[in-house]
Amino acid sequence: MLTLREFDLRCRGSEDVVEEWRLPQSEIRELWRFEDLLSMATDAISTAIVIYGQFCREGSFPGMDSQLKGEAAISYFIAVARKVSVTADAVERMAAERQADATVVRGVEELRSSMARLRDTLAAAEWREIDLIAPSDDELHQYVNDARPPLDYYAE
Amino acid sequence: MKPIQRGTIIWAAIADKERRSESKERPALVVSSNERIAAGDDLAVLVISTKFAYPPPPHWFLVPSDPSGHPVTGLDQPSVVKTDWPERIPQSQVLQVRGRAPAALVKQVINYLKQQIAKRPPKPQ
Repeated sequence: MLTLREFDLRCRGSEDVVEEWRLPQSEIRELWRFEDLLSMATDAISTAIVIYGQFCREGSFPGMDSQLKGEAAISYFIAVARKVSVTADAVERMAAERQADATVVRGVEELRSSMARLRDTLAAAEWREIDLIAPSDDELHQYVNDARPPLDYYAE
Repeated sequence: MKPIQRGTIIWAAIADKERRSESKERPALVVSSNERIAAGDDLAVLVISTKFAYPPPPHWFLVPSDPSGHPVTGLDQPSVVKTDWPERIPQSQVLQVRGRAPAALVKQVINYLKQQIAKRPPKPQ
């Protein structure tokens, strides 16, 4: 399976391809059809979801070394997944423009449903990150007690 | 009632900050972990209040609202989470669950609490 770092590198490459594809007269259009961009964005989302699935099952991302654990690792995943989302948004917008011109764009519905799943995955990862950074429940209750002494304190 | 999770905005009868008035129904942000919530423990919450001046001080955090009821938070008035107004609420006293705060906001609040907790002097043995 692709490691999170390899996936990050691949996503940066995807961003560059989409960015360049948007430039008029770009030579990259001779190498990449629009449908290829759609597949690339959809595949990247699927990979992000698979990678997060592994984190949920095993508690670590594929290929993560011991230096990057827990909160740092999930923050890294969230940053990469957000880039995937931005790239997918850009491709989806281009697809919508083509559809507005009555062009049939194959694969766009698959991309849109993948984007919805990525939003769910990102939301789950963000809440998981919060759980990892949060103070313990004992610390939280102590924080409450320190700020709000029991009622009899006020009665004295 | 919707399930309570970390980040849920509950409504409960809570006295004012100085505990000088009768309790009234107020919203509050749940900061307890999901494990402790599922175990039925009391909730550690931060009261959400409409009493603030803009811009709020750094220890109060704006919560999204909408006059017709925000689709995510359920709040219909501009409000802030007051980190200096924490409360402990038994789950049996929760009156309503109307929404959940955005993860980005909860992360800010949690990071602020973490900083404050880290600043506390250690307890004498």
